[in-house]
Amino acid sequence: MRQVSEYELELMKAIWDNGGTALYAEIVTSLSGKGMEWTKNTIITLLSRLVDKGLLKTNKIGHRNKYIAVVSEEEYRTRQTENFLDKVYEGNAKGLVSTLIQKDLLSDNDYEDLKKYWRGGENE
Amino acid sequence: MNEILKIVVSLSLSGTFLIFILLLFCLFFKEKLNKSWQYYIWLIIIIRLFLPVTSEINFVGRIFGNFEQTAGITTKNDKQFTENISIQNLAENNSSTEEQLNAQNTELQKSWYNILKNNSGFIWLLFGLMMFIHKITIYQSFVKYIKASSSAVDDINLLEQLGSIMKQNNIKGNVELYKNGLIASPLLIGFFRPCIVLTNAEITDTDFYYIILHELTHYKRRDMFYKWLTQFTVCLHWFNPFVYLMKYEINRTCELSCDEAVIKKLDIKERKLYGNTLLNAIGAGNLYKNSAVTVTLNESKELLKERLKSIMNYKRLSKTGMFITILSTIFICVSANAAGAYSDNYKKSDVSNNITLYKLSNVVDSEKETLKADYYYLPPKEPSQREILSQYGSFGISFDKNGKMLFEGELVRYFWDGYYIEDCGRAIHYEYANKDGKIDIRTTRNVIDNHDGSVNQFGELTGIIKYNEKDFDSFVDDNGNIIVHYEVGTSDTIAEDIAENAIYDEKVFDSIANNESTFIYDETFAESSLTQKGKTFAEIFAEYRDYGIEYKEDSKGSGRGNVYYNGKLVKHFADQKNNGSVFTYESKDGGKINVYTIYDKNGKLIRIDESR
Repeated sequence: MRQVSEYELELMKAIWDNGGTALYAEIVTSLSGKGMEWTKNTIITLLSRLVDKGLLKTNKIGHRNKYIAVVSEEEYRTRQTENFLDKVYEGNAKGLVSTLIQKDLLSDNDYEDLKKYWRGGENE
Repeated sequence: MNEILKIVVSLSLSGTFLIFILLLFCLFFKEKLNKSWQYYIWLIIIIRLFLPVTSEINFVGRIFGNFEQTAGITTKNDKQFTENISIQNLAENNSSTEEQLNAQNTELQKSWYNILKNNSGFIWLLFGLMMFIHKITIYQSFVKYIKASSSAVDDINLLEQLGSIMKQNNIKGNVELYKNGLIASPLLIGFFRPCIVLTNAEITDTDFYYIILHELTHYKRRDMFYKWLTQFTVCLHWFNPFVYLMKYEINRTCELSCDEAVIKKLDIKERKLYGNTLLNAIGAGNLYKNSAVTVTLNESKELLKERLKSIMNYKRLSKTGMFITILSTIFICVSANAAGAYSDNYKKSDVSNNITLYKLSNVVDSEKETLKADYYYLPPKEPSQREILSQYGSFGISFDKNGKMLFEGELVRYFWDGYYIEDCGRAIHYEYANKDGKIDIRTTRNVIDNHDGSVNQFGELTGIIKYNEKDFDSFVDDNGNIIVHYEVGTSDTIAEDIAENAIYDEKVFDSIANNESTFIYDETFAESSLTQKGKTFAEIFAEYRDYGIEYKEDSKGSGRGNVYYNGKLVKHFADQKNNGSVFTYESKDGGKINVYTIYDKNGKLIRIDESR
């Protein structure tokens, strides 16, 4: 998957929040809710870049474009994590987790949840 | 010459004429005319180079018309020559096969030549098309190259600046923003997804602002389309060096007028900043040979210098400037219209002025007390000596240093080419008269058997013979003037008179007795005439049969006979078609009534009427 810039990710989030599909107007409302008042050219440009990168596809409804997310937020995260893991930890998940714990990036609650999740996985 | 070729060449000629006029205007009023005018006025010339429409006043069409007339005679002669061969072959089936073979060989050689000649326009256009496709391919590979080596600008601030400039200037659509390390200066590419490509160099916000403003102005004005329209025109007229000059001028004024549009809204300080941006945008030189049609910010140093100069000298259009602008626009438009082009319209009006017309004068044969009629072919124009010599030179005709015709060294008084129609007069194709001449001469020609009971007396020229002294008076009227049937320059009057009266008016022809005048026959226009190959009077009159006309030919097959209208013997039959061609006929045995044809505006014969 090609890398997505932070602003493009904001647009993806707006679409995911809208249930995976959104019209231009809905994206604008969602963005301005977060204080991002971008011009039309910027938004359309970023959206078409996302289409080029294969994260979105468009569906014409009358004159308006409906933007449909090709990957879900979950899928995106998984792929990004895998990518990150491969690149930075060479696929070593343990290394990643130890970094997270050592640097207090995980709260105690998070840690307990993770443990429970891990054991559940073992029992299967 | 091929029709397409003629149209393209005439358009090119017309356009070249306009290019020169416009360049002169721009040279004289460079400072007075604004740059946008100097840019968009070329559109009129492009339209002129495209559209084969033409008006009444038609400069180029006239040139072409004249050219065609001269060319027409020779080609027609060729055609007649081959036709004669085939007619002979038909006539003499038992003639030697060698002759037939020769004829076939000539035909074969002619056919290759004809294929090439008939398709020359097509080949011409094909070459232009190939050039255009080549240009598109170059452009596409250029866009590909740029896109592949570019990276999208992720900086939201730059994107937002671009967006807000678009909003301010009310520019619709979507413009992408890229950066590229290989280009020398910022440019705008892409038709459907326009894209501003910046250089990788670090630029200030001001520079960024003006670069974007400049490129967006190009986008807003659709300069890309204009450039490609120009490119297409250049490819269509690839053979014309002046269209390249036009292309250069359009590219130059494109940048100048784009600057003008940008600085219109700026104050003097901002103009300076804009100028600085242009200077800064100059890179280390083009890395990619910029032969493609693109809209770049900078193209050359000379142009940049001119642009900076005109930015600093920018003035709003003065009143005189406005006046000159309006006047120049009108002048260019009128010239574009008047320059015209070669077209079918022109040809039609041309032909109607050069109709075949015969049966013009009646000469009373005193001995027989009957009307004698002379028929002639109204010439398209007075023939040149060269044309006359090419026809008759080998039979002893020459000219002295005063331009008087000589026959075997003797001064000619009267010369005519044609043939006698039995008992009824003459069919005259060419006539010459000089009152100081000493001898009267005429041509002798072969008679072609049409093999349908009719003959064509206007066959191959076989010689020129002298009249005896006793015939001397037959070409002179009571006042001693030579009777000729055509006065140069009166053809229109005659045609009009005939049109009005539907039958010939003797007064007109009586007045045409002049001392020296000439006319020539032109086989191009002989088609609707008496001597048309294979078309007999019987066939001509068959067309009028449904309207009450009957034609009975003399049993001797002389090509003469009587015309009847509803059973009544017709004295004069006159048919003038809407295109102006006139056919008249006089019955052998006289008659009491005159009849003429009536056409509707679509040129369809509706009835035949009896005149006074």
